[in-house]
Amino acid sequence: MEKLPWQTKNPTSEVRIGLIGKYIELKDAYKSIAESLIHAGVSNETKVNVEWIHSEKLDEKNVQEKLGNLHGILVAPGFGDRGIEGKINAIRFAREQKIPFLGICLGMQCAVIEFSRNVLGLENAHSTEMAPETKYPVIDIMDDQKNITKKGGTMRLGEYPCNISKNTKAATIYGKSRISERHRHRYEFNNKYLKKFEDAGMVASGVNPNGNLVEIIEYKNHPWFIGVQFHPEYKSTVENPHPLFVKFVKAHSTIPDNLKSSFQQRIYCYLCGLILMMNGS
Amino acid sequence: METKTSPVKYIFVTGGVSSSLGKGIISASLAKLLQARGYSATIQKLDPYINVDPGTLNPYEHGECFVTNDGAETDLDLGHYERFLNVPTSQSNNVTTGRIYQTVINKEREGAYLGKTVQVIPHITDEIKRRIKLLGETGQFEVVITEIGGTVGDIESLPFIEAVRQMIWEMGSNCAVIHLTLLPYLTVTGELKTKPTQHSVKTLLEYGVQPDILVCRSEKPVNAEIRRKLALFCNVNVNAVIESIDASTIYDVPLLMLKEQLDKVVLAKLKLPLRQEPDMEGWKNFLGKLKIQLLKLELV
Repeated sequence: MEKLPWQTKNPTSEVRIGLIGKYIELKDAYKSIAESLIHAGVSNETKVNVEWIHSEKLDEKNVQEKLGNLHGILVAPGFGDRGIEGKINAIRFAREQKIPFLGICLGMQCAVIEFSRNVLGLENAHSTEMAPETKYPVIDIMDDQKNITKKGGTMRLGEYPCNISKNTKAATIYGKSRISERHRHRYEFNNKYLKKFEDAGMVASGVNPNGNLVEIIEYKNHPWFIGVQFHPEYKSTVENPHPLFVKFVKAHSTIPDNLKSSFQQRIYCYLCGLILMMNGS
Repeated sequence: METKTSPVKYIFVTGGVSSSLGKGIISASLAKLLQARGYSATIQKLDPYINVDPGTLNPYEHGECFVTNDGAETDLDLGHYERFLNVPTSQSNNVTTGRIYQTVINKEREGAYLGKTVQVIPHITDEIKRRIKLLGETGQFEVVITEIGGTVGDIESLPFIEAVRQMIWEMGSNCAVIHLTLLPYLTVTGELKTKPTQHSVKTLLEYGVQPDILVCRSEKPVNAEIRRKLALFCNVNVNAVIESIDASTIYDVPLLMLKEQLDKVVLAKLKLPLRQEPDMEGWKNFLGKLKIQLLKLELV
């Protein structure tokens, strides 16, 4: 493939990926994701430095400090309420600062919640998993999960097909229109809000063949912002690195410089401020 | 494609001395080498806990829950198997004590045991053996590697070890047992110690299982003298004492095992031909690129 002028000849020799989750004390909890990033690093011939960031320790005040120097932000899968607001803060930062973002499972659902609250203006929008009484249930339980009471082995599990819409980032990444990925979830994107989302630029680029479950979302007004309801990390192998991870690791080096400038400007302003402060004291 | 008339071979991997020695990685590495020699191999994990599957376990307890194509919620070791072999696993590749008991108790409620007293031996062990053979009976694999979770001597894993003993009794040279163990290094005296391994093999022998191969995790190289000593006291061939030295990445392990000829020793024990020289070019290429990055990380 021919390189575009703004693509650097030598890709960044190091890519810093922030992995945001609530179990990071035990790295084995994200084993497949960590290995997928290794496969993607080798595939890109780039070293991937994973920074493990605890979702409970992220708030609006410290996101800049904790996430400001990252080349990519990955919000990990999970269940339950703990650390949710930290994940949402991280996603807002990634979206606004145009940092490549990959949300997996709950990470994708958090991206939906963040977008509802901060772009669509749906105040306190939430998932009915964490807030059953929320006014804006943008993530809701799947229909066939409603009457299930037992916890063991009852989620939507395993491989399911997904159709990818043409002319989307997902279509470019996979290079095909029909994929099959592994799942593990009870909750899903609430289709009642789909039109609102698509009108604002957050499109459903991957949908299951029945057309009722959103599998991939991507934000058009961002160089690389993708959320997936499935778990691509279960399919990455040494022989076949997963395209989503490969392209996510590469994303930073393919963003045109004029889009990155906001970040560089911020660093510049910060340094100037620092110098002024030091002169003043 | 030739028809696979020769019987399916079963390799059991047990662990001694300590948990977390990396039975999953050793199993995956061996399977990778066999695959590179042209054998179709799969790996199964038997977990001794009573949860029916790890789906309900807190990740803090047990790490990630891996999900297979057919929707099984499984141990994270299955992730290693798939990443190494590039062959999908399934529901049959992970079996827990809970799953075994659930099946046996359900059968008892159905009246399938015709009024017999249902016991650990033979009913639980029979169910374990059935689950082990299930993968072999699919016709897809020439070699099935079964990794027994936990450490030899645990109460929980006893029925699994007993099932292994019975399978060896039934199938003889179609089975091989690999015991993964630890040689602790004493800094004060500057030597690797073999006693914990000797004891762990003795425990295995008490249960009627003689390991054929010892894979020894160690932070220092295992010299010929220690190999001879381990072979003599643990009753194995000296070339069946395999060193598994600490590696900078798990992706190093298949090549380390190749260097130690684990694949050859296993195939000899199973009376299988070596077929081709292992084709590990793709793997070496991957590892080479990975090593360059690791080196960069160290320099920073």
